Formats: sequence, structure tokens, C-alpha cells
Amino acid sequence: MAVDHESEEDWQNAERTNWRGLTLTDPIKTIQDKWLLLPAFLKVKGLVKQHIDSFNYFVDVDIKNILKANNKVTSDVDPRFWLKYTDIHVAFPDRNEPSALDKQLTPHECRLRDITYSGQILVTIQYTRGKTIVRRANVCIGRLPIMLRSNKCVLTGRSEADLARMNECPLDPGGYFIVKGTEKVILVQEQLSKNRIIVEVDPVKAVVQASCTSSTHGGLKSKTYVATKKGKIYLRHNSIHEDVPIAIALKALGIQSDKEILLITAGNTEAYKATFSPNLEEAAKLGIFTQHQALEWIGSRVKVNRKVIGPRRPSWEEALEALATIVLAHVPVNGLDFRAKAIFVATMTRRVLMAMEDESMVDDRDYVGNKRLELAGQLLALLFEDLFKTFNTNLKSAIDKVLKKPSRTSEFDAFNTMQFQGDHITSGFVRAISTGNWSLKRFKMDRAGVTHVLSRLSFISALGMMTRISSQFEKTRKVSGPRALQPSQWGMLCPSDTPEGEACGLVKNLALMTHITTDVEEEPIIKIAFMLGVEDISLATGSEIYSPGTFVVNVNGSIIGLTRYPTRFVSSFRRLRRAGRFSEFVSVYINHHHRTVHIASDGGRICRPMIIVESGQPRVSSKHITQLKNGAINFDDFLHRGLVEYLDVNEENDSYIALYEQDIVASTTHLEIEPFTLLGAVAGLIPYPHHNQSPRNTYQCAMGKQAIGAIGYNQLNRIDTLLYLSVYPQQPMVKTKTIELIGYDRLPAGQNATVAVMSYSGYDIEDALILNKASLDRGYGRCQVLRKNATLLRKYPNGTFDRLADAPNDETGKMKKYDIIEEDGLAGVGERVDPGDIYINKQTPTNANDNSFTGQASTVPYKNAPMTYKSPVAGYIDKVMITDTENDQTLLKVLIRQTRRPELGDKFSSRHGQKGVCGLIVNQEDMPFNDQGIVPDTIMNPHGFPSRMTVGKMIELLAGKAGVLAGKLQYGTAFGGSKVEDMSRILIENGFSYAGKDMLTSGITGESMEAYVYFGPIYYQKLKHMVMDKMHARARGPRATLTRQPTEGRSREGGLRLGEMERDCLIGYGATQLLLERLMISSDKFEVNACQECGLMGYNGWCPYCKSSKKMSQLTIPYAAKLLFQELMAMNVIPRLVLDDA
Amino acid sequence: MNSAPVANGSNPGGAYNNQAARQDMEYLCADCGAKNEIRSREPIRCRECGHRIMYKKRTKRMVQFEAR
Amino acid sequence: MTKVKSENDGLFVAEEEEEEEVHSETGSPEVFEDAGDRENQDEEQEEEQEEDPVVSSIPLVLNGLSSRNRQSLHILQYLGRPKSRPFGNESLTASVKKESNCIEVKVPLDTLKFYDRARSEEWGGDVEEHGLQGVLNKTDGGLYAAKIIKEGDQRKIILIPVDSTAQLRPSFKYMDEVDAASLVQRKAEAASDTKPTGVQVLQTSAKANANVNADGVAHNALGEALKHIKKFDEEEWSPLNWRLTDDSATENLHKELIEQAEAKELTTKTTMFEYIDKLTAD
Repeated sequence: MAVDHESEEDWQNAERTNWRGLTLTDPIKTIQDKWLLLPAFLKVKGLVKQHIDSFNYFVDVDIKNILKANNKVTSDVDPRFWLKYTDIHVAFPDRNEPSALDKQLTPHECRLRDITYSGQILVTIQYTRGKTIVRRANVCIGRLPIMLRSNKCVLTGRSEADLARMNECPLDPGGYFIVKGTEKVILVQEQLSKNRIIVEVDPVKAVVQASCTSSTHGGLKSKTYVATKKGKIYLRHNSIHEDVPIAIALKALGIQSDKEILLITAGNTEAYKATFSPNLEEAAKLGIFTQHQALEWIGSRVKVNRKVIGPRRPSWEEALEALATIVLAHVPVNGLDFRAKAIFVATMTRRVLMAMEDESMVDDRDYVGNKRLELAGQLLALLFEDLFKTFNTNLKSAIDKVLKKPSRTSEFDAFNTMQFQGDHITSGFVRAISTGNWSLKRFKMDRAGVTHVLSRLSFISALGMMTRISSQFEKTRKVSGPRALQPSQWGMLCPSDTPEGEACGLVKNLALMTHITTDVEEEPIIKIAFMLGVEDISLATGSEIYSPGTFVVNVNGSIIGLTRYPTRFVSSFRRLRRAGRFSEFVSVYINHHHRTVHIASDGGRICRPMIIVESGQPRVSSKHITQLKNGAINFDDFLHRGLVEYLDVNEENDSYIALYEQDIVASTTHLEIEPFTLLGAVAGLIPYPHHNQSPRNTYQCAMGKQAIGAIGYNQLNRIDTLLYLSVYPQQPMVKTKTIELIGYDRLPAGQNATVAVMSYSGYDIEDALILNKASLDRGYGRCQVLRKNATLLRKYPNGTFDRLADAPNDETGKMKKYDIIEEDGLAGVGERVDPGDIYINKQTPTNANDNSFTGQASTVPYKNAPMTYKSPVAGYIDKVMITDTENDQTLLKVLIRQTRRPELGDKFSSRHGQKGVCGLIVNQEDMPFNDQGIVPDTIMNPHGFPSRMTVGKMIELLAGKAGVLAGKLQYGTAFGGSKVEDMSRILIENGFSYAGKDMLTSGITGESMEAYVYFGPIYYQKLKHMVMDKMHARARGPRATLTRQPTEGRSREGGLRLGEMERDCLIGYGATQLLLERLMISSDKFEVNACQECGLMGYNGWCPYCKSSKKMSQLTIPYAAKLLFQELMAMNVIPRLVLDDA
Repeated sequence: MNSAPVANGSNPGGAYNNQAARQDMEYLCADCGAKNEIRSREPIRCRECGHRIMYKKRTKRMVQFEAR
Repeated sequence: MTKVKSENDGLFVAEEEEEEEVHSETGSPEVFEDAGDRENQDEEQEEEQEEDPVVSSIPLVLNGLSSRNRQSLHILQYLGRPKSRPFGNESLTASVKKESNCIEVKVPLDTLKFYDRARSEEWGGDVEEHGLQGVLNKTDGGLYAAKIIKEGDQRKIILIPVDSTAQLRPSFKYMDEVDAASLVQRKAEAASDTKPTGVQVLQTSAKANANVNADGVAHNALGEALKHIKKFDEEEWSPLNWRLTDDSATENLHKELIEQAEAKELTTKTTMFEYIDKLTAD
């Protein structure tokens, strides 16, 4: 819409009484239930769909492009030989065993069997065999791990019943991989956008620089700067030693005349001309006038990094090559025409000039519109390209090797050579995903920690991981910019969900209604732009480009042309997009500061849908919503009918978006679908978050991921390393729309506890909670901990193998610790395992690693290698699973279950960042009760409220209480939800105080309490931090072998460290004997013999250095000190002990 | 035992009573629930459906739980 | 400073015999695609906003050179030459490198005004003409020269498809030649010194060779850009005839382009959306 010109007038119109048939006081028609667009959206996009879309794009489109770019293998030996790849596709995952009857592989089987959920990469090849050309289809070159719920996954499009049959949870988001049995996520990576100019100012050094990271499809990356240095402008690039004066750079790019250089950079603006003129002088001073001279100048400074045969090229050729291919690699050079590149350099220079004149013309690198998100598909594409190229060079050298042989018995068939290429691609993928190391030398990429194990602590933690975005910034750097909340992340990134501490603000989460784009082809977009009247840039000169009223049109950062009617151009472009003439993810916006129009079709932009508003009327009407409810139309229909469109951050900034319908004015272009979508999935669990102090919501986002609950419908079929399950999970009384949308009401992690907000006993200070013992007996907060214990029965290269043995007998019969072992050497399912019990009685051959052994495998001696239960609390054998892995080793998994009731010190939290530990468990009869005899499950200390300001929690209690009384669930959706007034009314109707306070009677004294107590249900989460897993103490115990000091850590039954600061205290106090005891006597005291003569240590009263026993004396020192002396001596440093009488 | 991974009876490493209760240990297929035996160093595969995962059957011994 | 791009000096150079200079309304190099009458298209769009009504419609006439197979039409832009100084009747010469898509126009220098004879001596003596070089940018048939013709009340726009456009920039060949000459001289002087280093060069290149094999990726000795340079250098300039504006052939062509009998009046056959689909296909 041509908003700018019309707005003024429309505003005046709006003040008239009769504007578009309405007066301003007329009630605004609202669209009933427009939030229903959200579930419709989530069906097609959103949450984890970006991962899946990105993977699908890779598998369906990008992999074909990569193949096309590397589709020929030739031979150096036989020039007539060639092999061409003509097609590629990825198959559904199948079992990698030729003998399998049912080839279909389910993800669950992969998890249980520790195998990889991968499908074959199949290519069609054509090659020469002798004089014939052979075509072979479906040749497997390797296996690609398949993302769950992508279009190559067996789960896609299945019904709930089908999923149940496959042991899969319908609520599981997918979007991750299963590699060697572990679920791996490739986190979304945040990066600065490629091929765009970013202008920055360093106020300290007074340097203005424009930089541009070029990235071409081949993966080549380079960064080019145009920067000021002492008032002059230079072009800087890694491949050139010295900064190139900008005039020389432009001359080298074919703009030879000073007049044109000035015109193309400074235009006709006097101020810019004046600032720029010293640059022209500099070139003249250096005697550079022609293109050839400029190339010579640059050429002698280019870093030559050639592996090319032949004599050194003249330096001007060197420069030409560098300028054409390395500097600003993304700008194309057609033949001899360097003009496009010259204009790009000139534009960068212009931006520097602008920023020199006006400080505010710099860009913000933290602006979300300047960021691109890299997803699994892109990373896998890079990896595949690298692996495929290596595969091809290996194939080529193998073919060369065969062809080199002078005589061959049979005609050479390249297909056979291909079959012997091994599993380079397969293992490359598996290695990269399972270690997370993306080190691709070919693309100068070396990243670690790209993948993470999907956290299955709770459903929310798994979901939260899928929406997580990690930043490339260094965590240690103390800059606040990248960590701060950016206004432009509104609606795109969750403002609440970020970790505390070092990664604060660097790790972000997607908001509920976002989508990340994939690449869209740009040629058709460029054609359309030209059709809409864009004038080709190759016809323009500086005076047109910078003439007032002319806007430069950019497509994905490259300049394509000019327009004089930007508003008209942009609005017709948008109209075409709304009509579905090209991808809905292509964005267009006007930058009035730079006088540019930007069209973006590249991947990795965050965008979200918005209702289109035209002439002050939202295009979506109640009629459409009714159709949506009936299932007559879906979200895509809304898009295609031009009712709703996606806006990316840049276009959002060029739009006028109303939050609510009543805010729509004449210039409004869009309407938000629902304001609560600005929060993410994890923050969406919080009821009434808009009433809380903001850090509390952030705390809850961290804690919601630690809550114990249900993790999936298949939770009891899973054998995870560690699984926490709640015994009686409940859906919250106060829900939010988000909770329903993500399915938290079906996989909840918490219980609705009746809470009395009052003081009780003094064991509730510092946020501690009082728990009702009877509630615990009834199952409140009860959870199960399931731990996997796995082992492999190996087969060794020398023919020997591990085995299982039944329980041995001693004199009294079966030994106690073998009690539960059955005849197969495995514990019986359902048996209780006590500490120290053996549950897998494995034996390994004593000569397993002796490769010279050739005897009978059955005759070798065995040694015991049993698995012993180590936890201090008994557990029960839940499952014993036996299976074979991919390389035919027997895999045993024993799942051991513990059921835990809450105990003193277990951690609980409400959904408002209010955590506390259990301080006291009180018998029900001692708890206070109200006139109906209701006893609280939990008592919370009221001191938790004043400083935390979690008003949302108070409203949750009120809404929850009203919900209980009315028999309904209430809503606490952000920026909406059930109103306090309505809740109070329900309370009054049911005979309760409108304020939610009840009169309680003390269970101890039987007297009525002197104050009314805020009393009602609050959803409480039990967190995974339980005392049982932390409790630790020792009097004496194991010591480390090297230092003889006590071991460290609970898992090694370690000591408790008296650290440096504690030591300082003791020194300060002068408690020398205590120090001595703590640091030596109770730790690593050691008796040494030292010689008073030479000061060296001896033994048995003998000094081996002095060869005498005369002056020996015995003393006690820490063993670590003795070790230090010896280590120093080993380094040729001699420490001498000088002994003195104390 | 007949169950797989254990070597036949001879056990030079320890004095185990192997002969007792060598009866068939049965395992349940994770997919179809069919009863299966697992033989020494043979691939684990359900004879009904070919599935590769087996679960051990629940013990026949009585297990007493403490209700708390 | 005056306006630089002499846009109304749009000059057509037919490749073969008929050289001429035609004044035509190149106007803005607005891009029109074939069969595209924008105003008609706009009308077809359902919701054309009231703020942008059709004021009048002007017929479009497509015209072209009568003998397209022998002739081609190009727009030359003289960057840096003010509009106020069109090439009148100066005797220009033009030549072309067809394969490299390069065109060169030689303009005689006015040696009477603002001419530094001393400098000219320095640069090899007789710098008396001024070379303008440009790359012919193919238009892919999407670019037209247009002229609005008024016939009484009636107006019509004549569209003439253009093969390519070129921006002509001064080339300073004489300076490079001076440099080259001095380089040759220096090389000759230093020739005796460089001999012993010849061995070293060989060694390094052998080493480089080994690297290639190890890497497995053989680079082309010449990159794309250098290949083009090489092609350019190898190709000979083929001269073109230059016809002046008032030459009869020029005037004939001018007339032909404007009033040709077979000029087709364009009617819209496709809708805008069909056309867009054609653009975005594949």
C-alpha cells in the first residue's frame, strides 16, 4: 500500500464524522476466535516444522543441486571414460541387513537397538563401459540419517493408531535424528546474514567500515571491507596484503575516469564529494591512472595461494583473477564486464561516506533482520557436498588405478569399483552427527558442538530444545549488545526463554508462531521485478543511482536495478505475492534511509504470519473463521486467498501492525493474529505471565524443563539412560492456549496442589515448603526413576567371545548377591535389586586381546565381569532387553526402576519461577484445615511474594480455586485469560470470599487462625533435583592412586574439599593444628626420611646421596609434596629440605 | 542354560552349577509377543515375525512390595 | 558538472554496412516485455485501486529493423560526456570484437583547446584521438527503444527491440603502452641477472604440481575472467562504418524505424497472471 502518501490524508479523513460509513465511536467488529488461525498454522508450520522443512528442502531440492554441480567423474588415464550422475534421491529408512524379511525400520527400534535411523542415498549413473554407455538406476552411495517426521520418515502422515503400533508418541515433535540409538538434535544456529552490507563505526578509533560476507553456493566464503583509515577510504580483503585505496580498487574494476569514480560513489552530493576527493588524489599520487596500472598495483599485493602448474602469472592477471573470483564472490562477473562488482564496491563506499557524514547511518548487527538462522538442512547439505566430493575423488583415483593396468581380463565396469568405495558417506554423516564436529576443510568450516543429545527429561525439555537457537558469539566476551533483548525480536524470538548465567541472551528460543524460510529461487523474482518496471542497473550511472527519488532495488543483497516509484513497486510486488504468484516467503521492503528496496528470497529468515488489513478492514472475517472451524479451509487457503501473509523482520519493520482490532487506523497494514504468540512454547506454560515480574518468567522457563512428568505416550516402552516419570501427573487447573496447542495438557509435568499461603513451624523460611504427609501417601509428588544399564556381549577378533553364566554356588548354596540371577545369567524381571546385587553375570575371556591366540574358543579361561547395582536404595528390574546391534554383537539392556516419594530436601516449584525445597513433612492432623475440612497439600511462606512480585501466581490460585468450584478449567493465557473479576464472582457464588482467602483452623491447637489465609490450588512441579541423588558424606574412603588424596565427587565416594577460601579462614583465625589435620593428617600424610646434610629424601634411615645414615631424620609431609619434589627432580630441579628444630 | 550367550556347560573360570534348571528360557518378541528361545551365538530374531528385539519374561518368583 | 549520461543521444549502430546515428526517444530505459501493455494488464486486475485511474490509453506499435538477420541495434551510452555536447558531425570510427562483445569508438581529440602537447609527447607522441570502449550487454530481447509520435490528437508509442546496450568508457591505451614499453626495456636490462633463478622456478612449479595431485582437484590454469581476457586479446578488431546523423542512410533508417509499414499494433493476448506464470515457470 502506498501508505506514506496517503496516510496524511487518511488521518484527516478519520477525524470526520463519516469515514467509510462509520463514525469513530461505532463499535469495532471483532473477529470471533481469530486465534483459531494459530492451531491451523501449527498444523502446517511452526515449532519444529522449520527443522523438518529445512531437511525436506535438503533431501528434495538441495541434494539434487549438489549432485548437478558435481555430476561428472572422469579419468586422467583414459580420456574416453566418463561417469555421470543423472539423478539422486533418498529412500525411506530401511534395515541394513540383507536377510531381513520386513525391511521397514521404525525409529523406536533404532532407539532400542542402538542403530542409526537412516535411508539409502540412491543415484542414477551413466558411464562408459568400453564403447557402450551403461545406465544404472538406484545405485546406493551411502546412507543418510533421516530426520524424524520429515517426508522421508515412516512416521509422517500416520494416524495415532499407526503411531501407537510403531511405539511412537503422537505428541513427539520430531525434527531430530537417531544416530547409534541416541536422539540427536542439530540446534538452530544464528549468524549474520550473508551478502549484505553492514556499516559500523568504531568511535574510539574513528573508523567507519562497511563489510560484506560473501557466500556463494559453492560454499566459498570471504569477507570484504571498505573502511576508512586516516580520513581516506580503502578496500580490505584477506587475499590482499595491503589495504587498497578505493580509487585504485574502482579503477581496477574498470571505472577509470576520476569523474565517474566520484559520480558512482559520492553522486552529486557536495558533502560526500568533498569527503571523497582525497581518495582520488591518492590514486593520482601513486601514479595509478588506468585499469592496467591499478591491476598491477593490486597484483603485486595479492597473496598467491596457487597450486597451479606453470610459470608465475603476471601480477595484473593475479589481481584480475582475485577481483573476479575472491573479492565479493557473490557478485557475478560476466566475461569482461566488471560493472556489477564496481557498483557494489561503490555502494559500500557510498554507505561509508554516509556514515562518515551522519553517525546514525550505521547498521545494527544485533537487529534480527540482519540475522540468518542456519538449520539442519543447510548443515547437512554442506556435509554432503564435502563427503560427496571426497567420494568422487576417491572413486576417480580407484578408477584410474584400474585403468592404469595395461591388460585387463574383463572389460572395465566402473559400477564394480563404485561398489567397493566403502561407507565413506555413511560414516561421515554418523560421525558428524554423533560427535557434533562439523569440520569441513573444503569449506573452511570447523565447528564443534553443533549437535546435542535431545533432552528427554520432560516433554517440555524436548520441545524446548527443538526451538532453541544458539549464537556464534563467544560466551566469554563481555559485550551486552548481542545479549540484550532486541525490539525487533518481538513475535519472532521469545523474550522470556533464555538461560541465566554465561549463555544469557545468546541462547534464544523461537516464539510460537514463527517459521524459518528455506531458499527460494531468485531468477523468477528478478524477472518479476523487471516486469514491474525496475530499470536495469547496467544502464545506469551514478547520477541516476543517486538522483533524488530513485531507489535502488536489491535482490538478496545484489543490486539489480533502479525504480523511481518504490511504493508503487513494492505494493504491486506484494499484491502478486498475496495472489500466490510466487513463494509467500519472499519479502520486500523499502529502506528509506538508504533509499533502497530490498527483496529477500534467501533461507534462514525468521518470519511469522499476520492478518492483512486493507482500507482499515482486516481481510479475515468471522465467515472465514467459521469455515476454518468446519474444516472447509485450512491455513494455506488463508495464504492463497491473500487473507494472511508471512512477514519477515525487515518487512515487519516496513509495515504498520495493529495489536488489536480496535487499534486499526487508516494506515494500518496488518493485524496480529494473537498477541500471546510472542512467547515461545516453554514460556507459554506460565499462566498470567503478563502479571509477573519478567525475570520470574525467565526462571520458570529454565525450571519447566526440569519438571518431572510424562515425557511421551511411549514412555514405558523407552529404555533411556535416565528417565524421570511422575506417577500421577495432572493437567493444570489454569491452562493457557499454548498448553493446549503443544499438548502439555496431555503430557503434563506437575500436580494441582492445594496451597495455603501462610507461615508454619519455621521450617518454611527461605522458600522452603511444608508438605502434607497424607498427600504424599496418596501419591502427591511421587515419581519413578528408571535407569538403563547396558552391556555388549562382544566377539573378539581372535575368535573368543563374552558369555553369560548362571549364579555360582558356595557352601551355603546360592550367594546373596547372585540371588536374582536366573539361569540365563540375567536378573529376573520384577525382582528387587539391593545395593551390591549383580544383575548381569557376564564373563569375558582372559585372552580377549591376545590376537595370536588360535585355539578353540570354547576352551579359553574366563574371568568375571558382572554388572553390579550401585545405588544406595533398592530398585526393581523393570525390563531386560536382548537384541543384536548392526554389527551382530549381542546388546543387553536392563532397566532398573526406583519409585520415590517426596522427602525432605526435594525441590518443587510453581510455574512462576518460585522454587523451594521441602522443609518439613507434617502429619495431616497437624495441618490447618478450613471449614469444609479441606487440608492443604502444601504450605507456602507468604514471604515469597513481596520481593518476587509474582502476581500471576496469586491470580492462578484465584482462577484455580474458581475452576475447582465451578468444575471447569480456567485459562491464564498471556494478555488474556480468565478475568479476576469473573473468578471472584464464581467464588462468591460458591460461598467463598471474593479475595480467595479462607478461614483456617490450626491442626495443632485447634484454634481458629487469627488471619484469613490465601488458600487454593496452584500447579506445582517436582523438579529433578532430589536429595537422594545428591546426599553424600564420608568419614574415610577411597583415595586417588597418584596423589593419595581423597577422591573427588559423589560418584567416586569422594571427600569434601576444604578449599582455598576455607583455608584462608583458618589461617586468619590461627587454627594451625586444624589446618594441619585437614590438609595433611586426614588427607595424604606420608612419612619420609630426609637427610639433614644434603636435604634430599632417603629411605629406611639411609641417605643414598651421602651414603650415610648419620644425619637422617623422619618427618611427616603430605604425599603430594613428596611427589612434587620427585617430579621436580625428574625435571632436573633439585629441591632441598632444610630441617630446623621447631 | 539354552539361552544364548552362555557357553555350553564347561566353565573353566569358575565352579558353576550349570546342569540345574537348564530348561528352556523363553523370551518374548517385542513386536508380536511370540515366545522365543535364544540360542548361543545365533542372531536374535523372532521366529514368527523376524523382529530383532526380545524381552525377558517376568520372573515366576513372588515379589513383595513395601507399600509406602 | 553537467548531466553525464547522454540518454537522448541514444545511438544505433547497425553492424553491417549501414551505420548511422539516430536521434530517438530512448527516454528512460524502462523495461517492457513483449505483448505487455501494462495499463491493460492493470485493468484486468480485480481490485485496481480507485486512486490510480486510467487517464488515457496510447497504442503501442512494435517495429524493428527490416533486415534483422543482417542488422542489429545497440544503444551506446557515452558516460562522462555532457548532454550539451552531442557528437555532431565529428568523424568517428568504430570497431567491434564480436566474440568478446566489445565495441570501441574512436573520437578525435580537439587538439586546439585544453590540449597538453607536452603530455602527449610523454605518452608516445601522437595522442590525437580518444578511445571509448564498452562491453555489449545482451538484453535477451526484453529491452526496447521507444518514441512517442504525435499525429494530431493521436499519440502512439513505437517500440523497437534492442539487441544490447553498452556503456562506453574512455580507455587509456596509450598510457598502458608506455608502461609496457618501459617494462620491456627494464626486462631486457635485467635479463642477464635473472638467469640463475630459472632453476628455482622450475623446482617450485614441480612442487606445486605434486600438490595438485594430492588434493585431487585440478584448477584450471586460467580462471574464467582471464580466459575472457585472453579471448579478447586474441580477437581482432573488425571495423565498422560510421554514418553521421545527417547522412541519407541514417535518415532512411530513422524513417524506417518510425514509419515502417509492417509495424504491428500490439494487442494484449495474455493476462498479466499468465504472463507472470510464464516468467516464474521452472
